[in-house]
Amino acid sequence: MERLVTRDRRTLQPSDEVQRLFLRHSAAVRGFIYTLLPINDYADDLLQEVFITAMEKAAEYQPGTNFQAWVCTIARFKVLEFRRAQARLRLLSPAAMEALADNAPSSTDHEQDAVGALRRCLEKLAPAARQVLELRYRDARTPTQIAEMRGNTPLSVNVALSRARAFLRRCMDQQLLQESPPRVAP
Amino acid sequence: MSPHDSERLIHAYLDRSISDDELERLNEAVLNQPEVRELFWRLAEVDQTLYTVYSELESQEAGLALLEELSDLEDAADAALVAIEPHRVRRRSSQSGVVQRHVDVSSTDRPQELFSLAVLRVYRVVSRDGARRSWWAMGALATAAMLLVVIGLYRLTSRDGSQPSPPVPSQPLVTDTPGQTVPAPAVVASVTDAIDVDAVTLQPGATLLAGEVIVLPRGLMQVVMQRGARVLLHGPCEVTLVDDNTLKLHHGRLAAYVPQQAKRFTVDTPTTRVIDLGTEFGVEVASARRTEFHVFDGSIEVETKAGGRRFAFEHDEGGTVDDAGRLDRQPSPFAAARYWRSMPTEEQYRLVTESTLALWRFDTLSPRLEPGDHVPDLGRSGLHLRLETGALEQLPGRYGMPGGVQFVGPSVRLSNDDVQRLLQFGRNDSFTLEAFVRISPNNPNATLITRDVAPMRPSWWWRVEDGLARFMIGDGVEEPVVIGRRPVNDGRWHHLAAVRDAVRGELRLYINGELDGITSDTTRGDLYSIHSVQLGRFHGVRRDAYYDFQFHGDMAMVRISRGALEPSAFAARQFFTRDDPSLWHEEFDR
Repeated sequence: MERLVTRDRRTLQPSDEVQRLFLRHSAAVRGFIYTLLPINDYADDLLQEVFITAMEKAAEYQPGTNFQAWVCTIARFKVLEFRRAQARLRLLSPAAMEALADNAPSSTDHEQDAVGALRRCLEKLAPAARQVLELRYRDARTPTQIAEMRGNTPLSVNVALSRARAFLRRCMDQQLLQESPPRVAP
Repeated sequence: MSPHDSERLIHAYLDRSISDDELERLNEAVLNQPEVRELFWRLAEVDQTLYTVYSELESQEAGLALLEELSDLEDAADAALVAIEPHRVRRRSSQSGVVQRHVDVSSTDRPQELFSLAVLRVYRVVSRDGARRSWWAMGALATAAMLLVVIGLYRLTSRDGSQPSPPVPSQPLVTDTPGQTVPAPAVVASVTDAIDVDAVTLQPGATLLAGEVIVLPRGLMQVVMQRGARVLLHGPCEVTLVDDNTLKLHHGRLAAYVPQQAKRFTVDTPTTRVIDLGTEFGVEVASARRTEFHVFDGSIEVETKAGGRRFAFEHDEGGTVDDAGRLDRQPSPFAAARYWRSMPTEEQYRLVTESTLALWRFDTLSPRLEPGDHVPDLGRSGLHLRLETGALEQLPGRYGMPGGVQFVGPSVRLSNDDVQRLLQFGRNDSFTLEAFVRISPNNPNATLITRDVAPMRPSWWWRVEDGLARFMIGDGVEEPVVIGRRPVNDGRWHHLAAVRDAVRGELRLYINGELDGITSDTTRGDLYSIHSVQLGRFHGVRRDAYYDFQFHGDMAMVRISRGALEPSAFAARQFFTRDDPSLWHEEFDR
């Protein structure tokens, strides 16, 4: 197996290598974009833009250097470009986005682990809390819409969401801590 | 900006419900506060992961629907595999015929990674054709369908081409429910009135994970560790589950029952490690600088964090360890009263915590109490009674059930001098006194409970006189008394109750939940007394036994509650059941 993979790599072109790396880091790149631009449709569009640009600039990428940092630089440029073009959207100011981008975590390689951890944590939520999250994240409803659907106040929906997300964050941290090497047998 | 504010604004931003004013504040915080930027990334990660998980589920559902329409699954699989990971095709070829329709997508470890691979591949192809958006959705959907096959292969063929190993079953954990087992490392067995900040996590049956922090602002939660230790967390408290036989108690109180197989179950505290040696014990962390522990049964080993010294403690022993490693060893014969050692019913818990001021049960004491011994207050107000004179002997109730205590000797008095501030009732306070007693026909006069000084002084008492219950309260001016109608000294167990109902302006007496007497409460002032609460005898010593009203009989329980309890809330139904025939009275069934 290892021999096969090594042989495959030797024959890769720069664009293939960038594509392979992009695929590997796509979730992290998407997360980077989403943090700066937390609107799913736009984030997806920008991810595609970033992919195209990365492929076009594949020859500029130095193999062995930090690919995620390289591609996030492209993503950052794309997000700011988008932000300036969409001044009417209620988004962070370009300066705040820049500051936020400067503070980006160096590596988010644990994205797959995070998804698995989140799934397990979701199972522990009460049905009512899960329902609110589904409305928010699966159906993309705003807290106000959710409140109307459930006959609650927006404040109570915000509180429910906050509590659920705080729990999930803590639970994920614990799960990831548990899963990080040395692994603890289940 | 406080962390709480920051979190609220970031969530509002991510939820797209932020106002202009809030956005302005968030902009400023992001620009000027590094900790806000750090928090932003963390919250956004959870947000994005939530979208990922839910979109995955949606994609899988769409893919499954399309999968039904694909005629050649193996070709679809090949197409996807060629596009994504050529080396897997070769492996798959040697596993011909393994593709199955019932692939379990939801349980794969890597659907998102594979989905990303497939979707981006499709994107690249369609974008080259210049038909970007129109083909995107269909391509993604088709790829998702192919992906299901890929995932099926992935799960059916491990990296070396062999069948994946079945998961190693964790050690089953026996819970309260016979035959029920739960996974490692611990599980919430039962909960009483426990509200966590994330209350959603505290359902009975929820699995707890190593490293998980449990915060109980109130209530009780019973956790069963994988190795079998049963831990009753007392809210408010905060613990971390370290592994299947270790808990870290940050603050608060817990009681642990440790069976043999969980020997060396450990409670780690800021100053101490309390290690079980086959026992039942309680641990309390009131501050980070001091840990208190008590052995209810068996023995424990205590290791100080500072200095690493080890000490052994036996039954009824306890002590404290401070952050300098100093040990203060103390006998603690009644410390157990401060802990719940088994899970009460919701109703019991509510009664004790919400209305019960003091609760003394005599049916579970040691065989004989001598002067100086204590009767613990199960109401956890710390109103432990001290036996001053005489003796209390445990009665072997019928059918092997404990039947309370017998007051032995010419002068038996239980008192507590610490109740000066407590158990004081003002002019507007309702309260209820209850006792489970058995008095023989030879003893027509008996003091149940009093806080009496002298006539025309604020006080109250409850006694049996000439076989009838009497309840008096006095504010120094008025001294209304209610007298019962039915004799209670018939040699049978009875639940007696005396109620001062300040709302209705009544004094009431009950026998076995039945109204036995009622009169108007004519007092207008407070009932505050300078004397302690007494059981079994009036305060002071008189030579005339008649005026002492010495209780000669058997007593199983006395409770003092806040409020005018209705018969449905009397202790007869809450603490004793028909299963305890020595204490159950047929009238309770009415």
